[in-house]
This record gives sequence, structure tokens and C-alpha cells, in this order.
Amino acid sequence: MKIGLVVNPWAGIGGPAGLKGSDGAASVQAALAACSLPHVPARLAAMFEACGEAAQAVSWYAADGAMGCSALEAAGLDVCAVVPVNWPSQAEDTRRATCTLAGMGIDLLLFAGGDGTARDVLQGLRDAGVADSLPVLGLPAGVKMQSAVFANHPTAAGQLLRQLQQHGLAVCSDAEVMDLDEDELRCGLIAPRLHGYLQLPLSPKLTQGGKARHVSGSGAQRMAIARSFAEAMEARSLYLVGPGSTTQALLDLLGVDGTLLGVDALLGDGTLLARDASRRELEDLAERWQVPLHLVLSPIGGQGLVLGRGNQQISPRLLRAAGRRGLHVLAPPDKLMSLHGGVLRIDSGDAELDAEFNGYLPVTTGYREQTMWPVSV
Amino acid sequence: MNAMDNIATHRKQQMRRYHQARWDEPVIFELSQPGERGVLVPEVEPEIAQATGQPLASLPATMRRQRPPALPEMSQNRVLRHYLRLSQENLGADLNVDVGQGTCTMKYNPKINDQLARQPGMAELHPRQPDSSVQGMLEVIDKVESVMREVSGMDAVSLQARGGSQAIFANMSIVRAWHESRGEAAQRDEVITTIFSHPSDAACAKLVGYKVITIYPDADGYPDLAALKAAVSQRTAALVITNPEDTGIFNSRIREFVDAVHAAGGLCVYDQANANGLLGIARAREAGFDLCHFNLHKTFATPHACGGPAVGAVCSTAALAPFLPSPLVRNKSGRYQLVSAGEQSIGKISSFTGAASIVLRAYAWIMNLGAEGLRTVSEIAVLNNNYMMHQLLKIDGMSAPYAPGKRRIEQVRYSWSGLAQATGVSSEDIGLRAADFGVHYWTSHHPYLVPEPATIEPTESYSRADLDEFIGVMRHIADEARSNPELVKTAPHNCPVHRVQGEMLDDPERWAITWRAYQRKLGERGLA
Repeated sequence: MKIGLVVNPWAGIGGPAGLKGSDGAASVQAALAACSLPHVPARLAAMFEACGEAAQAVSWYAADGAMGCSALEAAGLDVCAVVPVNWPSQAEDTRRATCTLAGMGIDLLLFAGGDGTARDVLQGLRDAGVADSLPVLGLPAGVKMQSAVFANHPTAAGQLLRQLQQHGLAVCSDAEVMDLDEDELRCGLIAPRLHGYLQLPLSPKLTQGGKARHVSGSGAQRMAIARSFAEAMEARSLYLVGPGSTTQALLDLLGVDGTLLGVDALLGDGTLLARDASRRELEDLAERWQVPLHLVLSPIGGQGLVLGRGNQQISPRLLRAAGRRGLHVLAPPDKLMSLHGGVLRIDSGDAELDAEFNGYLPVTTGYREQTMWPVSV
Repeated sequence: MNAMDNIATHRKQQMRRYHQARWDEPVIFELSQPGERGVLVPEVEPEIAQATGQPLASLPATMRRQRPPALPEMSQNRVLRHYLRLSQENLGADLNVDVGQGTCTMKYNPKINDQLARQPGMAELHPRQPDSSVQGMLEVIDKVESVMREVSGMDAVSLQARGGSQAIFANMSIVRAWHESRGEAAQRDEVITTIFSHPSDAACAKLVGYKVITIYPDADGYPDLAALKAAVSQRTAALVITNPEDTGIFNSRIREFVDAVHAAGGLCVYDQANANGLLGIARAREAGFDLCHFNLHKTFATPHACGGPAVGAVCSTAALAPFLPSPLVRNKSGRYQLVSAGEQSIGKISSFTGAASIVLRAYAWIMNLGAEGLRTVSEIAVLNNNYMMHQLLKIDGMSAPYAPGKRRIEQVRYSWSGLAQATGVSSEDIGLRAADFGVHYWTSHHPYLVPEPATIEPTESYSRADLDEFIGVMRHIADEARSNPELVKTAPHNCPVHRVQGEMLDDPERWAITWRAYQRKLGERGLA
């Protein structure tokens, strides 16, 4: 198996310094000034240790120096090909190195970093035209890791690599790449956005025997969910459709030219009122139309967040207006079963309001099929 | 290792050196020779032809075939050879220690009961005979109904359904008819079930037109009562639930589930397709259910017969009895009659009165055992299951998720996730390797909530030696997974068919369950 490795050597450096991330050369300088030492090498070493001898059997391709090669050499692994990068490296180097590695016929791209790195990897793979086909695994090493592309911890990443090396690549599933805007975050605004999807190989533990025949979130499954929901839509109601591939299937079915990554507003008859709308626009629409309001959401990533990740455009005011009856969650059963902690969560920014949703929510899992799933703040 | 040592080792490990027959046998249609016949029917003598005229002419032209049926043309001995060869490429219930197909309740189906059903007086019965000429069969139906009433505690029974799913369909139809009779059918459009219940429950509810809400287990593996309470509303038509569920864990709080649904005006339907652990021990009536059903081919030892014929016994309370399928067997002044079930009946669920030969087999089995014998069946089934669980859990890498330390009823959903993580060998691989030793093995319904699942149900039919043989196969394969995982992952090695490409079975463009479909979809495109 050929694996390409890209490391963001500055990942996580802003955490201890309270910088809420490490994006931008200024942050790195500030962190270094605060005497934060990069912790990425230790996490890489833990991963290689868990991977064991299987790592020797992998053909490694890597970005130069601290962006990949150094870690491989420290673990005693040979590197087949080296991609040159600038030093000190910047986000642009991650994107370029990823794009180059993707062009070398690798089977898997392994990266170490946080959400910002995941975004750069996504962009690099898009540049190479393989973002929706090349399997990617993230070694968690950042400050923010809202994205679903990361292993739970370095040991888990190493174990997964070992299994993939020994047993071949399993089925992949769509994994969200999420990131906060760090400048906004530093101003106290939390507004993570869904930037796209990468292909995450499912670990054999999660890979069920019949997986190849029952792929989670397959097109047919999403379409069944969409059809079921569409049949119950009321013409004189306002629907705010959140981001994600499951809700996208609903837009496709209705023939609405909405967005995969943003929140779209439409009437029950399929009339699109606003595309990729902001919080302000959505609140104005709700004010103007004065019809029953429905939120159509899908949990993002393995965190189980129905609201509060990638769809902050939907404000507490809108959630309150929609209420329990107007909150609709769509998700294939396999997605629910893979949630960390097994519960759905709501983080609208108004903790008191969120707590009102504690208990169970009906989740549409198929055509005229629902399940009651626990919700916990 | 020489051959004798090899045999000795296998004997010691109780491992058979099994190899399935391989005949490389074509599909029967490919064996057809134009004009070849099994029976040469003599020409009709002229006198007879003259006397009968053209009998076919009495049929309307639209009812007559334009072309002869496209059946294979073969001599009798070639037909016999063909099916015997296929049977040897198979692994039937009478050939193997059939405990690996959990939820199916594979038990011994006594051959003498088959012989009874094949007696001319039984085999030549015609469903259109007048009631007066089938008093014996009607009496058998009546007596089996009375046994089902006793076993379930319910007030009324219909044996018309020709299988478990048909019985569930009947029960869901009764639910709908009941709500219609109360003017609530439009309002009550939801049926609640659990993920570990019989999947036919959700399927039949949907077929009848209901929306299905599925409850997942709580952390201990019991159906989540809080989730049920959140799901129950004025829209609830019914709860359809299995107990024990596929995990083998008995839900002792079932009464609370039933009460919560009744309080909202819904009905409660107990899926007892498999009641093998509960005969004479626990009844649907005491748990408060309105309806239940039994599969005679599971608990009551009639053959599974490759998908039928079978019988599903539908049992109801007196309040729901008017909705049972029609006709019903009734004894009027010492004579049995088939009577219409009345205006509220859901009507026919199957033609005539169902599969009489199956009812007879079940009757023979029940009468051989008696009431105490039925209870003993369940006690031994539960004992066998817990012996098996005790032994299987000694295998490194196998576990029984949920309810730790609790015994199971008649079956267990195990998990091989420990072994899979250590070796990469999946439960499906283990099942295919099990075929190399001549035993069936089944994982679980989808979705796999228990990772790397295996569902094993020993029933009462197997001896300790039989169970030990199956346990030995599991232990041997687990050892192989550690010493030679490739061997397990590339199994089966001793079977005529290697891994089936499941992808084709799920593709409507390519699946073919008839010869005609096979030719249309695959033959002409050269993909065959």
C-alpha cells in the first residue's frame, strides 16, 4: 500500500497559548514567543508505534522535512519519494504537497493537523481532482477538530493503518470537513462551516460484514429519506434546509438549486426563497412570511451535533420559532449508530433553549421510517 | 504429519474432514432436450376421442394457452439425477448440527409426521370437498387452535396464514380494521417496533400502510422504555415487538411497554414467531397483548421446507376476534363447519383454510409431547442455549454484548469484534469457513447493531455431543484466525460454490430469480 504523508508541523501550537488555533504566520510566531513547543512529532511517534511492523510494509511518500519526512525517519521508515516544500511552511505548502502526493498514485493520504489542515488537504485534493475518491485519514493534532476525518486518537490512527495495510482498504464514507473562522473565533464569534467532504476509510471495527451491500448513506438510502420527508411537506410552510449530503438529496428531489454546504430557505411547494442564506436573511424571511417554520437538519460528523456545527445561520430565535414540532432530523441509521457517545446534540448558542430538547427526537431514517434517538445537551 | 495422525488430530478436536460434493451441474433448463419426455402418454383411442369430442373447445379462447409452457424437457432418470446432485451440493437441516441459524429455531422435524401427512387420506384431500367429508381435518385444525389458545392465553385463533410473515400481515390488518371500526384509522398511522424485533414486523406494518418508528436498545440491551414513551402518541396504531428479542435477552418490563401503548389507545402485538423458550412458561395474555402469532415451522417442529408451505397461527383476544381471517372452523352440535367470520373480518389472508398438512404435523408433534412435554421442550432449549453460551464465551475474541452476567433465553447474539480487531477476520469470514466443516452459520439481520455478529440457537433437539461439535468448530476457526487468517478469509475451501458476489444480488438490473429473468438480464448480454 502506498501512503502519502503531510504534516502541519505547527498544528496544535496555538492551543496551550490560548490562541484558538494556529492559522497564520502571526499565530505561529506568537505561540513560539509564548514558548509553546510543537507537539506533532510525539503524536506521530505514538501513531507509528501503534501501527507496528505494518508500517514497514507501507511505501511512504511524504512532504519534506518537518512536513512529513522527519517523522518517518524518526520512526525508522524508508521514504520512497519526497515532495519539496518551503520552510517555514505555510498553509499553501500543505495544499501544494497534498496535490503533488495525490498525483503520485497513492492509495491513502495521511495527514497530521487540525481542522485548518483538513481544509488545506481538501483543497489540495480538489486541485488534484481526487477529493471525492482518494481515501484520507487525519491524525488528530490540532486545536480544533470538528471535522469527521480524524481518528479518535493517535493510537487508533496507528491501529487503523495497521488494519488497512494487512487487510486492504475498506469501504469509505463521506466525512465532513468543518472549520471555524479563526478571526471570528478570536472576536468571540463561533461560526464553524462545512467546507466539504473527504473519503474516510471505515475501520474494520465499524465496517460491517455486509457493508459493501449496505453502504451507509448510499444514494438510494438518502433518496428514500428525502422522499419520505418530501411527502409530508406542507405548501404554506417555510423550510430551512441545512447543509449535508442527506439534506442535499431532498433539494435534489424537489429540483431546488440549493447548496450542499449552506442553509437554503424554501417554501413547501419547492419555491426557493434564499440560497446559502445568512442568519440575518433567514430571520428576515421568517419574519416576513409568518407561516409555520420547519428546520430540516442532518447531524454533522461523528459529534452528533444537529445544530451548532456548520449551520450557525440557524439562530436560537429560529429554533424557538420552529419548536420541537418543526425540528426535523434526517439521517441514515448507520450514521446514527456511528455517533460518538451515541447521542444527538443541539448547540444553538442558547443553552436554556437547547435543554428544552433533551430527551428523544424522531429521526427520519428511511422511507416512512423513523427512530427515536436520544438528545442530550 | 501423516494421514493417520491427521485423522487422529481431527477426531480429537472433533473436526470433521468434510467436503461437499461438487457436480458442476448446469441449471435444469440448460439440460433440456427438445422432445425428451419423462412420461410418454399413450395416444387417445379413436373411440374415446369420438366420445369426448374436443374437451379443450369448452374453454374460452382467452383462457387457452397460445404456446406450450416453457418447461425443461427431460427423462425421469435425468431429473432424478439432477436434483439428487443439487441436494448433495446443499447443507440441509437433516445433514448438519443446525444450531448456527439463530432466530430460525432449527429443530428436528420428526419423519413420522411427514409420513402421516403423506398418507393418501391426507394427501388426497381437496380444499373444495364439502365440510361433511373433511370432519377429521377440521377437528385437527380445531384442536390445534385450542392448543394455541392455551399456549398464548388468547381467546381466538386462526391457522389460515401460510407463514409467519403472512400471520404478521394478518395481525397488522386486524390492527387497521380495529382502528377503522372506531373511526381512528386516519389518525393512527404509526406502528412502533424495536431494532432487535423480527424484521418482518416493520416490513408487514409498512406493507399495510403504516409509518414505522424503530426503538433502539438502551445501554443494557433492553428496548429503551423512555424512547418508547417518547414515540407513543395519539398517532400510535400499535406496538409490534418480539420478546426475547434477537439478543436472547428477556425483557421483564414488557408489561410497562404494553401499558404505555394501551394508555395512548394503541394495540399491542406480540411477535412469537419463535416462542421456543417460553412454552408453558410465559404467555402473551399475561403480558397484556391484544394479538400474537406463532410460526408452526419454528416452535412447533414442522419443516421449514425452503420457504414453505408453513403456517402462522394468529391469536387474538375476544375483543379482536371478530376481525380474524375468514372462514373459521366451528363445531356446531358435534359437526365441524367452516363458517364466515362476519362483517368485521379482514377477510381472506390466504386461499381456503391454509396449509392443512402442516397443521397435521404440528398436531402430531404436540400430542406426542403433551402439555408437560411442551414445557420440557422450552426448558431444554434454554438449558442448551446457556450451556452453549458458557462454552462459546471461553473462546478468546467472542463476546455476548449487553446485559453482562445475565442468562439468555433460547438464543444469543454474539459478537466476534474482539477477534476481528486482533486478526481482521470478520464474522462473515467465520461463517464461510464454518461451511468447510459442514455446519450452517448466520450473522444477523441488518443493520449490524452488534459488531461482527453471530446468532446461535441450539433448540432442544441437539445432544451435548452435537453442541460440543459445533462449539469445537467455532473454537477451531477462532484458532485459525490467529494462526492463519488468510485461510479463514479465503474460505470456503471445501464447498462447490465459493464466495457469492453479493453486489449482483442487490442490483435490480442484474438480479435474476427465474430462468426467464436470467436470460433477459444476463444471457443475452453475454454476462452469464
